[in-house]
Formats: sequence, C-alpha cells, structure tokens
Amino acid sequence: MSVATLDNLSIHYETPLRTVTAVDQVSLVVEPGQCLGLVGESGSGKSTIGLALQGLLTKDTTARATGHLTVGDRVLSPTDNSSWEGIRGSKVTTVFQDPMTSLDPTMTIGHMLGRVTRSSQDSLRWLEEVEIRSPRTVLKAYPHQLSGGMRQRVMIALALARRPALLIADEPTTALDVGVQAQILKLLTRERDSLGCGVLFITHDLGVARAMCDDIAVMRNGRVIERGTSDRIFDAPSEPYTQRLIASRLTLNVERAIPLGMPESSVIASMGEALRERGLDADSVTERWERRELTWTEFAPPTSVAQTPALTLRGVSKAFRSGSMFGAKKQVLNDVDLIVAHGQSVALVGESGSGKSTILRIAAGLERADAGEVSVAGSIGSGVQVVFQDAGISLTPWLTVSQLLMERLANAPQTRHLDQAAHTASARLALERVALDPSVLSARASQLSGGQKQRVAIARAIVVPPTVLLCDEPTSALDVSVASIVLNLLNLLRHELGMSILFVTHDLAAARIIADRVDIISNGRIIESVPAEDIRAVESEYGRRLLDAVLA
Amino acid sequence: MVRFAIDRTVSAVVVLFVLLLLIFTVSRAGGADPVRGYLGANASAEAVAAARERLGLDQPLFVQFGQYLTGLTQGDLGLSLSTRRPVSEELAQRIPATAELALWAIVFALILAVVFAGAYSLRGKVAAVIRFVLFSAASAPAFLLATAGVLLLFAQLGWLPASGRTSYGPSDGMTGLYVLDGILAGNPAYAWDAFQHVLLPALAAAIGPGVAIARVLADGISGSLKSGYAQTARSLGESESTIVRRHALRNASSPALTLLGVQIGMMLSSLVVVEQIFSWNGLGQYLTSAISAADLNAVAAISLVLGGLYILINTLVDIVLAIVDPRVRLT
Amino acid sequence: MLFLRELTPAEDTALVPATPRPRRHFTIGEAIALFTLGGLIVLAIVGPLIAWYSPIVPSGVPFLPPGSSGHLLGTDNLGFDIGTRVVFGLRISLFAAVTVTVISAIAGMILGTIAAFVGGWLDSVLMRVTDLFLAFPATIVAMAIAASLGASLSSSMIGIAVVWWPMYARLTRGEVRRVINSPHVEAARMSGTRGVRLLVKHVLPSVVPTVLVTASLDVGAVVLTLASLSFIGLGTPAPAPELGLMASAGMQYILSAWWIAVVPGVAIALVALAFNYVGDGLRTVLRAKGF
Repeated sequence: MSVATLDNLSIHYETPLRTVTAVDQVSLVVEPGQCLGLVGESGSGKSTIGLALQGLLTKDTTARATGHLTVGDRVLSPTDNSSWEGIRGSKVTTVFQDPMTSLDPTMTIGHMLGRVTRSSQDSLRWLEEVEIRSPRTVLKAYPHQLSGGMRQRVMIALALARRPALLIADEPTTALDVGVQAQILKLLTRERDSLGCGVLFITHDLGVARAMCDDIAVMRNGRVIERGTSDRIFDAPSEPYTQRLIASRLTLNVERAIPLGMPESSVIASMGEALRERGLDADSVTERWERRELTWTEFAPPTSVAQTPALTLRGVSKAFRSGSMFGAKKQVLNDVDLIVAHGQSVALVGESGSGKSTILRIAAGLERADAGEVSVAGSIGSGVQVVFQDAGISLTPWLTVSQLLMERLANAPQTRHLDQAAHTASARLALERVALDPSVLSARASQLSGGQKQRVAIARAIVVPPTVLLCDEPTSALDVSVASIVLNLLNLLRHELGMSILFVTHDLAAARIIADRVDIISNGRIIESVPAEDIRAVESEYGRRLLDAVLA
Repeated sequence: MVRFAIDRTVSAVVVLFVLLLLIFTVSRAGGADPVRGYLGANASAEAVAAARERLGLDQPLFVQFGQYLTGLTQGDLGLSLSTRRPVSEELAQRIPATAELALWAIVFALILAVVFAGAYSLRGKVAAVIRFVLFSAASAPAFLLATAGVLLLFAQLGWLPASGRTSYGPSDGMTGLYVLDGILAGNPAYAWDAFQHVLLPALAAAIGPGVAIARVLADGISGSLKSGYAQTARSLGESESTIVRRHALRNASSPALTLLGVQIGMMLSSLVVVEQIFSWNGLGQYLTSAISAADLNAVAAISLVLGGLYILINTLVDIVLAIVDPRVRLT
Repeated sequence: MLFLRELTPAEDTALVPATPRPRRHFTIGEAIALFTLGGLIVLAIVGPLIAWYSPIVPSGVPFLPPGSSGHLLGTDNLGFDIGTRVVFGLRISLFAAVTVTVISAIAGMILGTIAAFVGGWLDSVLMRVTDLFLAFPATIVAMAIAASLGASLSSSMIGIAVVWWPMYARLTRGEVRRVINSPHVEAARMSGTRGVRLLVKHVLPSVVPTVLVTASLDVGAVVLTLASLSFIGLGTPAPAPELGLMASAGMQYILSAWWIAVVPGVAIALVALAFNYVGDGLRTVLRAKGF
C-alpha cells in the first residue's frame, strides 16, 4: 500500500483581491521506501504540496482545496485541522530548509528530542543514529552552539524519532555548505533504507534531486508537467520546460566555450548588438547557438589580451574580532597572494567562512587588509566594481534605476565631464547590454523581479566598464533558468568589454563556466590553483570534496 | 557571574556619582534658593547670610560636593531643609512605603501585560474595542487614572480605600512592607487591608506599562508563531496551545522583559504623582514637598535612591533575561 | 503612562523575527486620531483668540458643573471658566511638548549621525555619554533637574530635553550604522559616492522616517511627562492655565466637584492618545513600506 496519495489535488489561495492557484490538479503517489523528488523553480507550487501533506495548510485561512489526499489509509482534508490528529507528527514528519531558524533557540537539544522520544536513552541513541559525535554534550547544548550541519542532523533526528511512514524533506540541504550537503544526503538515504519510509524530497536543485531520488516529478505553475524515473527525466526529458531546466543546469560536463543552456531571446538581443557593433553577422545568432556553433571568442575584440596584472593581492592577511571589544581575533585571511591578469577571469571557490568574500571585499576597497598589498591597474575604487550576492538589497530602495546609473556616471572620472545626454545614452546602452528594456529606467528595485534586479546591479557595475569586475556569488540566490541568463550575460560582457573577472562562489560548476582559472580557498589560504578546463584534476583533499559535492 | 556583579556595581556607582554631580551643578546654576525656603520669604538678609554660612552653602561648589560625598560614605545625607530632620531618617521612614508600592505596581504590570497580550492577539470587533479602551487608558496620565479609580471604586462603589497605607496603625513588622508584614505576623486581616490600600495606586501606575509590554509580548508571540521553530513543532504534531506555552511565550518574553526595564523608569515618575494623590507617605510625596520648599538635599537624596532602585531593577531584569534566553550572556 | 518607543533596532531584531504587518495605510481609528489631533492643534492656536473669558480672571460662580449655561465645561473653585483654561493649557502643553521633542530629536539625530559616520574615539565618547544618561530613570532626572533650576515651565522643558536627546542619539546612531553597512550603501560607495552625499542620498532617507515616527510617538509621552511635572508643582505657579497644575489643584475638590480635576486630565489624555495613535499608525505604514 502506498504511503501517501494525492488525487487530483488543487489548492487555491483566496485573498480579497484575487484568487491564486498554487496547485492545479496534481496526482502523485509515494510508495514505502521510495524517494520521490518534487522539482521546480520558486512559485511552482512544490512547497504548497509539502505544506498540504503535513496538514500545515490548515493554519492558512485563505487556502481552499479540492481533490483527495490520503496518508496510509486515512483520507485527509488539507484545510481541516481535525482530520490530521494522529497523522501530523507521527505518520508524517518534516525536515525543513533552514536549520538556523527551525530549532527553538531557548530549548536544549535534549529537551526538544525528549519531547519526541520520551526517554533520554532514546534521545542519545537517535543522536548517535544521525552520526553526531559526542552526543552527550549535544544533548545539553542549545541550537546556537551548534553548526548548521549539526543542527540539520538534529532536525533529522527529531523527524525520524517518531518513525514516520512519510518523511517530507523540504530543501533540506539548500542552506548548508556544499561539503555538508553531501553528508546530509547520504544520511537521509541511509535512514530511509533502514526505516523503510517514503520520502517526498522537495528541491529546486536538479543535481541534488538526481543524486537522491528514484522518481522525479517536475512542477511548473502548480502542475506536474512531467514525471518518471530519475534517469529517464535526465536522459530523455520530453517536455520543453524540463529540457530547458536540464540544459541550463550546471555540471562539470557543460561546454565552456559556448553559451549555457538553450537560446534565450533576451541574451540573443544583446549578443546581436555586440556583433553588429563589430560589423559581424548578427542574423543567425539563435540558430548558431542552437547548433552549438556560437563561441564566446567571437565577441572578444580582435586585439589580443595583454598578460599584465589587472588585480594583484600580495601577502594579504586579515583578522576579525569576534564578538565583544576584547574578544579573541579570528584570522580570516592568511598571507594570500592572488593575481588576476587583464582580460582574465578567476574564480575563488570555498565554503562559507573560508575567507573568499573577505578577499573580494578587500579587493573592492570595502575592507582594509591588516597586512599586505592590494593594487589594481589604475587605482583602487575606480578600477573595480562589485556585483553583490543579493541584488535586491544592493539597490537603494528609494532611488530609480536611472538615478543609480546616472550617479555612477557622474562619479566616474572617465565620464564625469560628459553632459546629460551622453550620460543618458550610456545608461541606455548599459541596460541593453544586460538585456533590459529602457523602460526599466524609471523603476525602483521593489518593482523588479529577482533576475531583473541582478541585471540592473550588473548594468550599474559596467555602465562605466571597470578593469576588474568582482562578483560575489551573483547567482546563488536565483532560480536555475535565471542564473543561466546572468552567467551568459557575464561571459558576454567579459568578452565584449575585455574586463577581468574575480568570481567568488561555493559552486565549482559555476566557477568552471565563468573562469579561466579556479583558485580553491580554505581557512584563509589559497590551497590550490587549477585551470578551469582541468577542474577534475584538483589534487587537494578539500578540492576533491568540493568536486564530489557537485553531485551529478 | 562575579565579574558581572562587580561590573554592575562599579557602573552603578559611576552613574549615581554623575547624577549627583549633575544635580549639584544644576542646582547652583539654577534659581532655587534653599535658604529662602528654609527660613521663609520674610527672613532678613543677615539671617539668610548666617544660615548660608551655617549650612555650608557659602563654600565653593566643589567643597560642598566633597563634603556631601564624605557625608554620604558615612550615611549622612545632610539636613532636610523642609522638615529640619536628617534626610537619612526621612528616607528610612519612607523607602519601605515606596518599595511596597513599586513592587506591587511591577507585579500588576506583568499580570496586566499577560492578560492584555491575550486581548491584543484576538481578532474581531470586540477585541478591537477592548484594544481601543486599553490604548486610551494607557495614554492617560497616571493622575487621571488615579482620579477615575478614586471616583469609581471609592466614591461611587465604596469598594476600596483611597488614601493611606492601612486602616490600622503602621506595621511594626520587620520588612516595612505592610502586606508582607501582615502575612508574616499571621494577621490576614491586616494584610488584606493593606492590599486593598495598595491596589488603586499600584494599578494607576501599572496600566500604562502593562499595555506597552502587552503590545510587545503580543507582537513577539505572533512573530514566534510564524517562526521556523513553531513550524517544526507543528510538524512534530504539537498543538497550537502547546506551541504558545512551550515556545512562543518564552521567546517573546525577552523583548518584553527588556521593555519592562525601560518602563519601570517611567513608572517611577508615575509613582511620585500617585503617592501625592493617595497620601501615600513615600519618597514621591516627600519629593513633592521637597520641591515646593526647594529642599535640594532631599531632592538629591531621593533622586539617588530612585536612581539606585532603577539600576537594581534593571540588573535583575538582565539576569532574568539571561535565564530566559540562553543566547544572552551577562556582560 | 504609555511609552511606545521601540527598543534599539539591534536588540529588537536579534531576539524575535520581525513580522512586518502588511498594512500600508492608516486604519479608520488612526485617521480619526489624525483629525482629532488636527482639531486640537487648531483649537490650541485659534482658541485663545476667540475665547470670551480670560483664563486668569474669574468669570462666573465657583463650582458650576459642566453643561452650565455660559460655562460648557463648568467653573472651578475660584470661578474660572474651565473650558477657557483648558484651551489655553492645550496651547501651552502642545507648544512645550513639540518644542522639547523637536529640540531633543534634532540634537540627538545630529550627534547620533556624527557618532556613527565619523566613528572612532568621537563615537566612543558620545556613546559613553548617552549610555550614562540612559542608565538614569529619565523622568526622575528630569524632575531633579527641573527642581534644581526652580519651578517653572522652562525648567521642566530643560529637564526633559536633557534626558530625552540621548535616546534619539542612540536610535539614530544604531540606524545609521545599520544602514551604512547594508549592501545598498556599499554598492553606492563602489559607485563612487562618498562622504556627505552618501549620507544624504543613501543613508538618511531610511533613517529620518524612523526618527520622525519615534518623535511623533514621543510627543505624547512628553505631554504626559510635562503634565506630571506640573502636577507635582514643577511648572509655572498658579494661576497659570497649565493642565497638570489645574488637575492637581482640583484634587482637593475631587469628591464634591470632580470636573475641576478630571476635565484637564481628559484633555491631556486626548492629546497623548491622538499622538500615540497617529505615531503608531505611521510606524506600521512605514514598516510595511520597507523602512
């Protein structure tokens, strides 16, 4: 008998202004011991299904549901709380996305587990089960004393201790470092096998889904548009949307010399413009992209790039004081040497806390090094620009896109002397280059989508082309398809404008696409440097771990 | 913990020292003349000059300040010019009265906060009306609430007394807190009577802080209920009421407690006014009469005591905070 | 007495996840409060010009209850018209409270901004000073200062202003520091905007509304504090038409002629309530708009 069944389930949210359909006639079955992946981008309805299966939609007074939902042999209503008695928390449990917020900060781990297991012996056993070292200490600890990975293990122990028939894993690794991700996924698979429970694995990450799931259902706009075995979906996707998703997915096998994914009209317009400017044929861009004949080198100016340093960091060290004024200093960077040549693109890859962002901030002049030298061809500040991780908060909320771009033009020494008309023309050109319509000029950040905001941030950085563009995980907050547009644009701009790029990321696959050289950083030191085309040749143990983490 | 105690004591001493210095400087620069208040407006110029000399008021300010500090270390707070008795004696007599009133006011404020937080969490028209009434009551000055209480519960209904601390004689118990003394002496009638006397004045001072804390508490609870850990608890099958009790209340109490510390400062000034209305023979009433007599020794001493009380209460609040929220460390 | 000010933002957000309410406009109640406030302000400005009694000359029989002909709100123990005195009192209260709030807000904002923007030893010194002030029970210190200066309205105003500005300095410093480290300001710095321009264009627009809201909430608290000081004899002496003083003078007739104490008290409550409501609404709306 199946663990859970969704039969023609639809869920609407009724607000006074409008009705939003979040889930549209979805039918799914989860079998015991099976891991079903529910994959989709944000807003696809996958999270609503997760909530419905836990009986947590009953909290939402605007939710309306039709269709059937069964867990075990019980027929349940997603919107009626009384029917969930004895199901939620015993037959169905959940591992949530963010281990930082999903544990009560005022309770010890032992107290939390004790409420589920009813005996400290069992609590201890469960902590051992999820491979927590020194479980006795952890029992007495509060959540803020544990690392993210440890907290997620505790979360898994909490969810499994009731021996549920169905475990819902709602993006359980998204908030974790890549190295930890793999361990958590392994743990989940092992526990599923030993308990024999069904798992509904909700994720936006196709790589994770493939590594974890037997079957995959792809969701878009509230509907399941395709489902099948994991291998079938990946090797022979039938729906165009699935094909796009898989094509824009980053793996270590993606061709680096050509644009990522399938032709994207907005990027094509910018490409055409770039080629026309150079007097080249711009008509067949789409076809050539499709035939995988379009290469990035076509966009580069004919003059060869000089191999002189554009950005040099020599012997850079930095320590931060942790906590109070008199707290111990933590060494974040340790004697780092880094050179980015003119026109070269370098990726700096490491986990959170490795010091990669600090290097970027020092190169940008936002942070001062304790020791060492930083030089940019030209001078610091005018020669570098930054694209921040979260574009949404890097745009001043009360200023329009036009005001932001004009500000940059009025400040930069290269354009300061030009008149208003020249500035306006430059601003429009910059928007064109990032494939945005000039109508965006009068918009404020709150009126733009996530991808648009990131493109505005890029436009602002390149409206006066910098020598070096510093990118701080610019795609990690974006959906896969949007991320591939941004990566394509960055590659296009880099070749078109002859910029150097320093690209900070935790993702080796993204690093490989953007960079010529990949530097791996750990504990404030660059431990290895490999050419991007030979990324598989990393030798350090840490580098191999990062490589393993790019699962598919 | 030891370091925390030392830190707090040192900073309390510094703060109170600065407070004294401020009062001394301002009083010298200001227009209030203590001797006129002491001798009366008709005293001759010679008498005034003589009195100034006798009281040391002709000395330079820093000498006066030094003398005051020396006296302070020996428990001598100078002469109260309005009552012509040592300030320390006056204080000793009145501190228990104010302490009793303040303690009850804090207790009532906390009780009201929890009850009102309920009203702030409810939906619907009735709850909205209740919220409006609470908000209005809390916006009223303490003396208006006290007046309303006197008119309604004393004059109209005759349920509660409206002046003094007791209908019997002063307590001869050791704490000086009449309700507690009554209980300790095994005299429930005395304790009950004292409680009836403290009810109106303490409530008048407690309503404002109660509502302010209730709002923060209700906000905190609704925030907690939307939090990740509340969702986790739900997914583990905990009921909504368990989540409020076990998770939300505790998490929401940190900001509420922090606010309580601030609110107590405001409450102290309400107490000064309330004591006046209820003829409550405490520091507030003493302060009022000292002000009208320009009795600066008394004003300085009362400010010191109330300031010290405020610092003490806030230190206690910090300790409770650290117990409630394990992320907070005592520094 | 209701004290609605927020805790400093750092403390606030560290402990409880912020839950912005989605409301983006005033409720009906807040709109009514806004109109009431406007009405009271107009009354305070225009009232004395059209009042047909003098606030300091007896104009009728003593102890007339409210509703008496010619004396809508009654007369007091000396035969003064209470309505007239309340209108004059409102004028004094509003003027004094707004002045004190504006002066402390501006002083605190300037000092807080400088402390946050310049940093270093200046920041340390300024913050030590504000810490010291915040460790005092504000109103008690205000009372002590006012008493030392000699009882008068201006003494009370000085006393309150002295203890009130540090709260704004703290608030502003916290806000400026929070905003100045946010990505949008770093992005603006990368785009070449520095110094005062950075402050004016990218930082202050999000700080000023917060301070304004706090100030509008504080006017209510200052009105109440002033009234308390006046009640215990720290204001201008009788027969000045100060609301706190009127209420305190009326207390001895409370059982025979309740209105002498209650009417001025209600006037104060009304002003404070209106400011609290409007300020609270402003805060909710601004929060919903992302400040």
